Amino acid sequence: MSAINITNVTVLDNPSMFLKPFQFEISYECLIPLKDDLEWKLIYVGSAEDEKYDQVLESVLVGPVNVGNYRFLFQADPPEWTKIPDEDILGVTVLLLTCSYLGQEFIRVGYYVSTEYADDSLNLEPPAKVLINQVRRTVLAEKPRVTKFPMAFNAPLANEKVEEDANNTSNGSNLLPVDAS
Amino acid sequence: MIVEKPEWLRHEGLQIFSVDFQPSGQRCATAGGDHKVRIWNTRPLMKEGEADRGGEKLLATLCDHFGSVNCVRWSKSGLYVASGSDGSLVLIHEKRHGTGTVEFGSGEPANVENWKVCASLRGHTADVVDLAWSPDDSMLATCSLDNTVRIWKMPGGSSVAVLTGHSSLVKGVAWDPIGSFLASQSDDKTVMIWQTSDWAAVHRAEGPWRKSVGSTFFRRLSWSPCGHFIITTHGYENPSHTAQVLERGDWSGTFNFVGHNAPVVAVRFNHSMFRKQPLPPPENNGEEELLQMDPKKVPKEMVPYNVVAMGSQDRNITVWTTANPRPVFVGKHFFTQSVVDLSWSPDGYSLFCCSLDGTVASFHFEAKELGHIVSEKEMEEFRRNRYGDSRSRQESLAESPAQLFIEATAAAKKVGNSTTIVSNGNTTSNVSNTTVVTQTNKQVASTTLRAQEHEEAGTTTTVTTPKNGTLEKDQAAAQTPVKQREYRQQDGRRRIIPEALHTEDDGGRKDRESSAEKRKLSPVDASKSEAPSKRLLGSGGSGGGGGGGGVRERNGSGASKAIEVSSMERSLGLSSTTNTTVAINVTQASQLRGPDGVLSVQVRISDEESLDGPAVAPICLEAKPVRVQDAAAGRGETGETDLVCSQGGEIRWRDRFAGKVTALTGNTNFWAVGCEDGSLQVYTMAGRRALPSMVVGSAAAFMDCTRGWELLLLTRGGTMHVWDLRQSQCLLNESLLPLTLSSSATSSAKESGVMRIISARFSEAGAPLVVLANGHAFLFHTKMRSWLRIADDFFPSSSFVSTWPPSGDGELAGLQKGAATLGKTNFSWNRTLINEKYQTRAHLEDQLAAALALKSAEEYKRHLISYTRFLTREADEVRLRELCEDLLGPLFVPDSEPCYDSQPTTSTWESYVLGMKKRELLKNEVLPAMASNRAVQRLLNEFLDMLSEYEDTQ
Repeated sequence: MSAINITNVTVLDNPSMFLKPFQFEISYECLIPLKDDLEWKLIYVGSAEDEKYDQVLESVLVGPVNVGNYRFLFQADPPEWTKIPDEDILGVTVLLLTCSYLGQEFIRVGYYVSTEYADDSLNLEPPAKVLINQVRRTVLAEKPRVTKFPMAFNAPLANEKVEEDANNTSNGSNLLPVDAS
Repeated sequence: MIVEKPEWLRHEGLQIFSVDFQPSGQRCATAGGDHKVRIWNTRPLMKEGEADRGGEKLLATLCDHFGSVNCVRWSKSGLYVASGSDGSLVLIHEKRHGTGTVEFGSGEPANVENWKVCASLRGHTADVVDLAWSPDDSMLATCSLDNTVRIWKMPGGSSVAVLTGHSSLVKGVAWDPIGSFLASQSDDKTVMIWQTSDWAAVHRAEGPWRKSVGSTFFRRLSWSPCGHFIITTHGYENPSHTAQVLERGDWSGTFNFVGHNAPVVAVRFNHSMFRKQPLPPPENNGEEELLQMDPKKVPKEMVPYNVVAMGSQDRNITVWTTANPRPVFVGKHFFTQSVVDLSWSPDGYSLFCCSLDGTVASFHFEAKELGHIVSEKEMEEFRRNRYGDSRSRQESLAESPAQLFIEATAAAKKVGNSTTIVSNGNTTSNVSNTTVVTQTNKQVASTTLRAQEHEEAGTTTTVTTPKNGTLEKDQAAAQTPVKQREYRQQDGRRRIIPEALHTEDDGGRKDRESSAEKRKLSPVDASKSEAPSKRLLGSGGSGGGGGGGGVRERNGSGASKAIEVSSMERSLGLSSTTNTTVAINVTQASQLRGPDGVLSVQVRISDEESLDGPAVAPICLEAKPVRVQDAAAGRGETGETDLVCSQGGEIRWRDRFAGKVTALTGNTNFWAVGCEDGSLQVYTMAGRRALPSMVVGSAAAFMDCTRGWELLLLTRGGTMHVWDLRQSQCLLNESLLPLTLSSSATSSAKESGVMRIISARFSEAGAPLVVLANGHAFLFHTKMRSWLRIADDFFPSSSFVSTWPPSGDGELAGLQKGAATLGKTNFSWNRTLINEKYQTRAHLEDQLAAALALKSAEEYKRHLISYTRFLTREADEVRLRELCEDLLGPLFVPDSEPCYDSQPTTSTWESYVLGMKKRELLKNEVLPAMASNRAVQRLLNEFLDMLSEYEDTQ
């Protein structure tokens, strides 16, 4: 089962200018206590064509993870626009909010983000060079796409390892007590 | 008959693989190809519900599966919903208090009811196809395309058994309503019967399935409520598809149901039996008479029969009774694809069918069609007459009020314990009555409080307030700013401690759970929150390496602060308890070897009168090798030794003799000095030589003394001596040779004939105790004149090993801990992993005996409780009985005073163990611990009765 369920995500300060930080208020519920922190990441897909333009905007650890309902504010810097291909700055792209436990991603929320000039006249006749200060982004907050991945949260990894070790040692245990006489 | 196809009962238009009624009839669950389980309100579905169809129809959508959900089944209690899906997952859901939540991003409306996953059962390696609850809900059987059937203990979900025997995909399971057997049907064209007592396969039926062709999603077989028949699926008997009947006993297939044009996929018996005529009014006891009558004499219309529904790939449904060779009902053209699951309503007159075409149809029958239902009471009676009382198998019921009472008190005790543990951290220093200490304690408390306040203020600055910066105390609305704490870890990563939200759950299970969680974690929280606050107060100090503005916290420094705080508390506690140690006249002597060959021993002496005076300086005895200040010889040693006894820097007496001193000890009565040449010198307190030099043969390695007159000496030759110096008597002269042979963990030591010993001393109870370098500890039992090994590392897989250090305040625990830590490097003695269970038991038994040998009463009690709990959990009645019998003793026992000597009377039973009354132990510790498992409640009751009887006689 999933130990963690996202109960709500509110996109704050939306729409906003491109260079303003992202702010998400994330609420989640936890059904079983976990010993490690959850890792939340926000990824900005710079270009639909190539993954190399993906930018991890922020990664935070959230914990301790105990049973109950929780919320936190996830703030992330805007993407470095210089690293985005010019033709992809404006238009529609995707923002991914992921959560992983012990390095394994188990839930992913995708949002469409549309970027355009705040001033309509600029949209009609876009300048040759992108005026990044004029760009506004809108997260389509009401249409999240949630994907879950199977995950064994309390997999007894440590125990298995111990057992293996013990077996190894017992194989080599021909050092049983020898009668001294 | 009324037939209805509710258009709103859908799984997004995808296949519906399973349908099941809650036994109470209120709800109904469906599972489908949209990866979801849906829980429906049945009222709008029922005949009489037509009037109020305005109510909520969909109560909950459960989106926890990652693949098509193939089967959904309610537990008999109606509390749990089990579902199995593609991808090997089985989930158990339960309804919790409060309203349901929206599944984020699913596009579904908010759930009306709060159904949550409470267990996930992992073990299958392929899609789970069918599942079934045992008649008493204690187990769940699941079958899978991995060719196995798995049995799980419910509601916890631990694996009970894996039934391997089928050679192909297993596609149906059914429990015997009596609970003795389980049937499973597989694509290997067999049906297997397993007995639930040991999960052995008792029969493998190869019937008409052999000729079956084609493939079906399921082979959902069903067991009749009378327990006599199993109707299987997917049979083929030229020229028609059949449903073969197996009969209990020899499991032979005598007849079958013929008629479907395609394989039968699912069969479901009605929960009840029916008869043609209703029973005559009960005043003439018709029911019982009927049952007692010879079945042949019962009028034909009174004979109960079964009703069964079948769904087939030919898209049709048939309903049969076992009294009639022709179907009661054939339903055609209701579905466009295969019918895959069926469920009868609890009243027995409604049938729900689901199909791969994504629809559900309901059929409401009448008494004139199916017959008159046989009451549950009568069914119960019927099964009992036929199969005997099944109640003996239902151990989960409390059989006496005493059981419930003890369970309740045990639970209360547990809660009490945990709270005391929690409060422990703060109240340790309150032990003494002196006001000074409590004041300082208060100060500490107030500073931490202040620190926390400060901390709170600190957090508010880190929060970026989104809408308007006003901070409000009420946190009800989601619009309020998030109250979280944030800092940076050592590796520079941000870590957020989220804000806990209060939902409107009131007193629900979940609430209780989370509050328990909070209680458990509160001490940790306190220390954690304290640590960063300290950092805030004393800014500067250990300047964070991260740099940058805002509040940045490094985890490492926080942790060290936390340790500081706790150590401070401990020292506080100590300072307040020094007065209590005064009550003891002499604290244990400690032996130290200085850097330049100086051997010294200290004896602390303090009187009860000097309560408020400064602590009396300890008397110190030092043995210094005499050095020749000859420049030519350098720092040569003459081989002579100076013996100096001083107190607070003031020399009380001195002596000098030939030979090097190897061991020293002393107490308020005497000093003892062991020399390298194998001689032993005993002095009085004032420095008089109390005895001529004793010659023991080889140099002293360890010496120890009790508070009285007993002196222990271990020579390098491996002989242990114990003398009583006042009586001038030898108490013990024993070789350590047995230990070298037994503890061959140091195999090299055995070869070289050298044994490494860490310490040799008196135990707290005054028995000689030797600890070897491998951590094994041996106690000499003076009456048995033999060595007992009380601490070792032979139980590496015992589940109690790891729990030792935290509770390690007793003497035995200390030794055990040493053995465990030293033994870790020594895996050569790790015998093959015996069943952990046996090792744990053996370990606990060893512990119990060792605590007894050490005369460590507290530990004995603790181990007794753990051992009882363990046996109770394993329901090991034989051992439990023996344990209780020993504690209870014979009926007539004079209530004697505590006595450690064996009584040479007729009764050899002692009513006291280590100063504790055995019956009190039984009554207050052992029996409450036994209440945790109702499987042993009869034993518990037996001893409760005996105990009260015994108390009456006295």
